[in-house]
Amino acid sequence: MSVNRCSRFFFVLVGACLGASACFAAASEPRSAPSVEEAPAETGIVCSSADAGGIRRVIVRGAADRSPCARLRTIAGRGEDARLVESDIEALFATAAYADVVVVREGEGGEVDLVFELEERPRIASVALDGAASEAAKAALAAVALGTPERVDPAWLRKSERALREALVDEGFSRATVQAAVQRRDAAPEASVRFVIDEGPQTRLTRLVIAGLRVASEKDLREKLHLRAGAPAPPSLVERDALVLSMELYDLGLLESKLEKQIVTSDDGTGMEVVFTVKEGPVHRLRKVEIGGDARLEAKRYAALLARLKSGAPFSRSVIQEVKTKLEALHGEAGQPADVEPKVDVEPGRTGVDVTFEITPR
Amino acid sequence: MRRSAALALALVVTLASGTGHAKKKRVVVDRIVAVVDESAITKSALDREVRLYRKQIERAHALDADARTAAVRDLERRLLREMIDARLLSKAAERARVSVSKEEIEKGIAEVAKQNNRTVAELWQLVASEGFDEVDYRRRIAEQIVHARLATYEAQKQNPDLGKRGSDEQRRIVSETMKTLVSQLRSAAHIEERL
Repeated sequence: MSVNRCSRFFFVLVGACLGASACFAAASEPRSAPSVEEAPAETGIVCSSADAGGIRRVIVRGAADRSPCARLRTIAGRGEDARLVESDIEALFATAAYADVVVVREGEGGEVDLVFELEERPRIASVALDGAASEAAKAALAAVALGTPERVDPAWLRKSERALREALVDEGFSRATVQAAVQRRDAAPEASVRFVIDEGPQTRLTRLVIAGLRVASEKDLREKLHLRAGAPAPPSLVERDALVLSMELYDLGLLESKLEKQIVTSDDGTGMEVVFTVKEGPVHRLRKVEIGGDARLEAKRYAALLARLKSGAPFSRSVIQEVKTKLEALHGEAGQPADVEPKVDVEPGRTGVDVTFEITPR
Repeated sequence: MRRSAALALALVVTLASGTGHAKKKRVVVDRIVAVVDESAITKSALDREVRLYRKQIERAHALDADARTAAVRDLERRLLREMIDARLLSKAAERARVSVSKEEIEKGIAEVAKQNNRTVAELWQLVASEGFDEVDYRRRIAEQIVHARLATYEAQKQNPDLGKRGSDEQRRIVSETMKTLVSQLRSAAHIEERL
């Protein structure tokens, strides 16, 4: 059946909410004051009970103590409210103490109990990280804060697997695998958690090539990069350096520059060669730089700051940003705070760049 | 109690009494049908979604009860997956601090009214006449706007020139991005379906 989103909106409206008004009516039914009592073990824990009208007893089964009762908004003596029951289930599950929650209505007529059947998760007795061999891997894993919960929570296991793997990958163990295993004897209340680690090879940079440079200085660019031959080369570092390279090229007025990266990893995963190929394109230069908007300070004060942006100089985003910050500070010092927005106008097909610093008083 | 009777149409499974307890009628009122990381989706929440399509299914399979049952089961599975995806997207939007203002929700509602050839006033009259929860309806609209905004934001990150493309192309790219995003979120999350 195909139903698109827009028509679904409409169906939301035309689909009758069966008994919606009754939901609210139920919540306002008169009720007797609920009482709390201990119950025989086979019944479960009675969270509340009432003699007159509505639910006779609200019971919890499968819990070791009364703590779940504190999470329940459903109480005896009231009519059954499906929305409340739903929020009770969500609240119980959100404690991470229970693997499952089923709500059952028991009895008929005026003898109705509402039973929350819980499946408790085992408590975590111990957590072990097994399989890391190298010191680098061990150090990376030791730095991960797992925030071990009280009970075995599959969501936490999954997140921990991911966090441990990411820590290894960040150290160059890009083929690492981490698998959580829960060991529990029968239905014992406690379980042990093991993260089985296969760190794989640590990939190190064998060579870094920056090709295609004409205007930019390879030496200057390399100084800005973190990739070093012989050092671990995680993907995040390659991405970081590609971004830095692009920004540096942009700051040299190479606004049309394009960067391609090629990564070649050795078959055994221990070595990696990274090639950044640059297509610089033309150098864009400043043509006209001016102040726009509601400029309230003396022209000479602006001119002093704009002196760095001389016509013919390569366009540099970081210098523009620096001037913007200084202009805002200047307005602040003069007691006339203002926002400054640089507007850059690049003429298509040309290399001249016009910059206007738009002043908007705050 | 009337509400529980209504919900019983969709939810109730009557079971024989369990061992160890006196024989009495046991009816499952609600349960968990999916787990998305630390949160649960209940059967009653799923049934609220299914109910929106029930009439369509009844019309499509009026004379064939088996086909009707199969269609409802298929629909439940599909809608549950949509609910899981929606929850993942909402969490991702929260992390990315993508939000929607009240004005934008109102604009969205006006758009829905327009698409259905109604005025906004007529739309709300319909909402009231159906006894629909207005708050929940606004929440749904807000959720869908936030998800679309998140996908657009991701699409723009990957396609800086997105704004320069034609509107059909933009829609296609955002839609593809949404699918990819959901797939990535799914692979990173702990998900259990318990239908």
